[in-house]
Amino acid sequence: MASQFIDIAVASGYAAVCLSLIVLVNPIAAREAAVGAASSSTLDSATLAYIERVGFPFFETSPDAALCASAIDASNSTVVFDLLLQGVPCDVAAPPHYSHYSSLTLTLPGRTVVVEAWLERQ
Amino acid sequence: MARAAIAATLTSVILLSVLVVADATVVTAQDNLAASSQLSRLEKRELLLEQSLAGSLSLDLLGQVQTALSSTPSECSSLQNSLRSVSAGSSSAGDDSGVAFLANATAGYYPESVGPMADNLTISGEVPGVLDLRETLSIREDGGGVVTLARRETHILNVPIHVDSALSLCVSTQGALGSALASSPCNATLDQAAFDATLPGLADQASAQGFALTAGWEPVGTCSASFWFRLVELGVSGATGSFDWTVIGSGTVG
Repeated sequence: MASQFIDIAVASGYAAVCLSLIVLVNPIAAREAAVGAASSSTLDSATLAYIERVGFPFFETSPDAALCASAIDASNSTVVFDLLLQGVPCDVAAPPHYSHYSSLTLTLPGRTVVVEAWLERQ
Repeated sequence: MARAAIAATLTSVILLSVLVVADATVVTAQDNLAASSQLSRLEKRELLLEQSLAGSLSLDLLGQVQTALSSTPSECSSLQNSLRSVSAGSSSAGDDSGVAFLANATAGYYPESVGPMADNLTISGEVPGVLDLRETLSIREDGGGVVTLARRETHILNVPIHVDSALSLCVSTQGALGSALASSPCNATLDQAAFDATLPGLADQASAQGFALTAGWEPVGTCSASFWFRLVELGVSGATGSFDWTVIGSGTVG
C-alpha cells in the first residue's frame, strides 16, 4: 500500500515537472520572434526596392504631392507605404490589420523624410 | 495489480520524457530559426541603412557644392583651378533598429582624363563636359556585434553645370569683345558701336548653349577700355534642386 502511494506520488511529481517544463519551454515565443524578424526583413527589402526605384534626388526635390503619390504607387496588397514629410504624414491610411511595422528616416539636405511601411496581415 | 500500476507509471514516465525531449528539440529548432531570422533581419537592415546613408551623404555633398557654386561666381581666368579645388565633406552617426552606424564621405574634383567609372548609386555616374566629383564613402555598421558591415566605396557624383561650354564661351566672348573695343582705339563712340554690334551675336551663341550673357565696358584714360561680362547658366537641375551658376570675365584693351 505504501509502495503504491510512493509510486503514485513520484509519478505525479515527475508528470508535474515534465508538464511544467513543456509549458515553460514552449517554442511559440521563438517562432513568433522568427516570424517577426522575417516580417522586418520583408519590409526592409520592400523599402529598399521603393527607394532604389524612385531614387534619392526624388525625395529631395519633388513636391510633397508627388512623394505621397509615389508611396501609394509603391504600396500593394502585402506592403503599405506612407511618408512623413517634415513630420507631416501623407493621407495614406495604415491598414487596419497589419502584422508588422517598420520605418526608415532619410535625413536629406533639404528635408527629412520618414518612410513608413506596414505588412498586411495575411 | 501492483505490476500493472508500475507498468502504467513507467509508461507515463517514458511518454512524458519523450514529450519533454520532443519539446526541447522543437524549441531548439525554433531558436535556431529565430536566430537565423534575426541575422537575416540585421543583414537586410544594414543593407537598407547602407543605401540610405550613401544616398543621404552623397546628396549632402552635392548640396554643399551646389551652394558654393551658386553663391560665388566663378572666374573665367581661373575656372579650371577653382573647380579643381572644389571639395565637400559630410558624416553621420547614430543607431537605427539595433544597428549602430558611422559614415563619412568626402568629395573632390574628378578629372575626366581619368576615364569613366562604373557606379551603382542612382544619383551618380560620370558625365563628360560637366563637373564630376569623386566621392570616397566609408560606412561601418554594427548589429549588436552579431552582424557587422564595413564598406569603403568610391563613387562619381556629377553637378550638371556645363564646364566645357562655359570655358569655350569665356574664350570666344573675351576674344570678341576685346577685338570689338580694340578696332577703334581712342574713339568711344565707335567703340560703343562695335561693342553693341558684337554683343547680340555673342548672346545668341551663349543662349544656344544654355547661358545668359550680359556685358559692359568703360573707357579707361584716353585710348584704353576695360570690359566685363557675365555668363549665367540658369536653372541648373542639381540633385538637391535648381540653381544658377555664374561665370564672370573681364579684360582691358589699349
